Amino acid sequence: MNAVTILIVEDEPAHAALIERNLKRSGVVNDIVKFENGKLATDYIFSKGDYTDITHDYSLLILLDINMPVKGGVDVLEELKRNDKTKEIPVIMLTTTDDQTEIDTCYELGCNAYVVKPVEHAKFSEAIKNIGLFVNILAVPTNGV
Amino acid sequence: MKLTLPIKFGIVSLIITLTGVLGLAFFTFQSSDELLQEQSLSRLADDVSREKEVLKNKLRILVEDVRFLSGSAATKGIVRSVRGGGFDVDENMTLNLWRSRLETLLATVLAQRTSYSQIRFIGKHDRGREIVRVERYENKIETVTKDALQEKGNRDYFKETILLKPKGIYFSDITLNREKGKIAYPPEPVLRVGVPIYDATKTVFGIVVINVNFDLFASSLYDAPKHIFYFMANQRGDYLIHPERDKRLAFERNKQIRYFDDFPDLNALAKKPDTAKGRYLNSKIYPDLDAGIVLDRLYFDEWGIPDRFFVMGASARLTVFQKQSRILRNKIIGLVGVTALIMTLFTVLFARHITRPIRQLTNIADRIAGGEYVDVPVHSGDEIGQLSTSLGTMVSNLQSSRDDLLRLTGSLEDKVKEQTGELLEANKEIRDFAYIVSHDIRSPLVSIQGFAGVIREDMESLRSVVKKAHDIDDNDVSKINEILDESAPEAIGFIESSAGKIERLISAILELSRMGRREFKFGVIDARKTVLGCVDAIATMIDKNETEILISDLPLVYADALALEQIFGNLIDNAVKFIPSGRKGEIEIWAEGEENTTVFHVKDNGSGIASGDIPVIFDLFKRVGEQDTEGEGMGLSYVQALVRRLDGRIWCESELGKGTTFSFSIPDRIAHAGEPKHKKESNT
Repeated sequence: MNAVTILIVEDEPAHAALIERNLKRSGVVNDIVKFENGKLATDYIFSKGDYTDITHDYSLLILLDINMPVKGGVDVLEELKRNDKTKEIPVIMLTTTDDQTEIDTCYELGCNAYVVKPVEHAKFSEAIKNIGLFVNILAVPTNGV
Repeated sequence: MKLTLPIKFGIVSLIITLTGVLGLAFFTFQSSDELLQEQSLSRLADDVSREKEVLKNKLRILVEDVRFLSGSAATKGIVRSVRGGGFDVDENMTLNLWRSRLETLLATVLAQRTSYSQIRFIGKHDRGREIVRVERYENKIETVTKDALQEKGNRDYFKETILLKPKGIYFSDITLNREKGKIAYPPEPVLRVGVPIYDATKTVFGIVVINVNFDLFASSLYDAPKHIFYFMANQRGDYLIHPERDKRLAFERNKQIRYFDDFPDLNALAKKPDTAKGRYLNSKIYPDLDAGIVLDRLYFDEWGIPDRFFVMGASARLTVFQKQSRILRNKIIGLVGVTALIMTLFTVLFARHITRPIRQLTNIADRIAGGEYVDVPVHSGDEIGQLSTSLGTMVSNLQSSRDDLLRLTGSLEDKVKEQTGELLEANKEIRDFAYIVSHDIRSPLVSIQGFAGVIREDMESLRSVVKKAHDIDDNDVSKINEILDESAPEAIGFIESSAGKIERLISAILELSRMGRREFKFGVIDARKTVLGCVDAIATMIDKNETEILISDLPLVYADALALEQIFGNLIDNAVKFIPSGRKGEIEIWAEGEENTTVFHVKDNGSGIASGDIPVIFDLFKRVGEQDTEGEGMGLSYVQALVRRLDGRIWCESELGKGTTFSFSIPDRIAHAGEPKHKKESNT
């Protein structure tokens, strides 16, 4: 089975750990790869830099933090949507603010969804569980191939 | 009605001209009126003089006639005949023959002199009986027959003439002619002129007398021109000649009509001799009578009667003079009118000419008032020229003032823009702060909450495991171990690190706000000493990186010591920190003096900053580039705030991978260190 790999791009290790935990608790069994910034993530996706030996068929789901050093989430989203190979990859933007202009920018660039990181744990878990559900639905057509 | 300047000038000029010319004309007219009157009187006096001479000549002829007759051969023959008893032995002639001869002579004379009415030869011997008498009767000359001859011995003219010496002459008063004691009709004023006749023995024999019709004799006096009349009076003042018949010889009718009754005050005047001219000529104007009068006297001095005279006068109506003077006045008024009209016309034209530049200036001034900038033409050097020049200067001053104002407004706008920029920057800092609170501080909080939840869940799991502790299977043991060894420590670790992060952020914020509040203590500082102190503080780090630090001669500056130390400390710290491991660090610090400012540079050969990141490096908590160094990303914004508070500016030039140069300026206030810019700080 050619399962979807989930990429968590998040500079805050604590957030990445929390997301991973909650995804797993919601029953997601897919492979999860974490990156500290956007550059590492794009290097992985396009097999560049430290990841030249990585091969994959772009069966990816990307959870992308907006605010990161070196390369922010918006830049990554832009790069993915520009590339024909990667433009179909579902991207869920993660943000700590509900700044509407930032959200609008992401939708314009073609993100599939966005999630505001809630301070309250229960809500955060709920949000990530929803992503897990999304991932499961996404997996159906892939299985059929 | 609005009067234009030329019209005003014209009116004023008209008034002035009319006043002047009319005044002049009035005085001219006044004096000319008098002159004209004098002239008229003078002319009248000439007329009187002429008439007097005419009359005097006639009297001379009359005297010659009577003397001629008295000396004639017939007269002498009669004397000799009478003395010879009726016969003249000298000439062998009888008395009757001589009488006949004399009658013929007298008739001839009468025929020639139309004003003579009667010539007689009267003898003394026969009680004054007439010897020969020839007279004019109804325009015919008749010789009176011997029996009609009368005795005249008792008549005044006979008595007076007979008493005269040889060559003496008698002039009678002028009276009306009388026949046998009664006034003859028609009344005829008569003047009798007689001479005495002497015989060979020098004894008086008789007289020759000529009766003259004085009206005819002085007839030229009645031929006066219109508006003038002549008159004559005797020494008593009785009119002898006058246009009005009733006034002539009124004493004959027992009345007194005298010339000085008609012309009052003339009596005194008439008696006042004109000594300068030797004449009794005088004149007087009677406005009430509408008359002017001239008087003269005809004296009989050349006939040996110096006290005897006739008064001769002429009177003219004043309307004659006034008519002339009216003509003059009308002429003057006409001239005045024409002159005034011409003057006014000239003045209006001249005023138009003179006021043209003024009207032009008015037009220009209107346009200037309307906001236009007009070149003011200067045509002349007179007052109007000066006015034009002044107006021109005013316009250019106005222009330059407006330019100044525009420039000032411009610089004011610049200043406003600058200050707005500063305000915007300050505002951005505040917004950054809000972002930090909502994002950066929230981020660790998310973790804390998240992991706290994790721990709670873990503990829940642990509790359920522990509940079943009496029969713990291997699976449970491994779960407990997992919680205790991995899950819980991990969660706690993250909580701790997140909390620490919050603590650091909060203390940084506190520091920033503290810095914002701290009062600067300005003083003269040796920048080199400050830099050396900063380098010493991070000596261990420098040694570790094998960094070489070059410090040039740095100037004295006027600043807050702590602020300057913090600025250099952060910049040097950053420079050392961002040198990639494995590269030998080179840091250079120098200063440049610019106009009124000192600029410090801190150059490193570190990793550099991407050009896109340079604008945000001074932002709060912003960290750019690889996150391989410690820090909260607030150093540069802190530095920037300090530099700004020192009235300076900070900027950065960088090339990615090669190094960065941070520069900051602070005002050079050493020269006037005693008067720092900030009053607040000067109080300390």
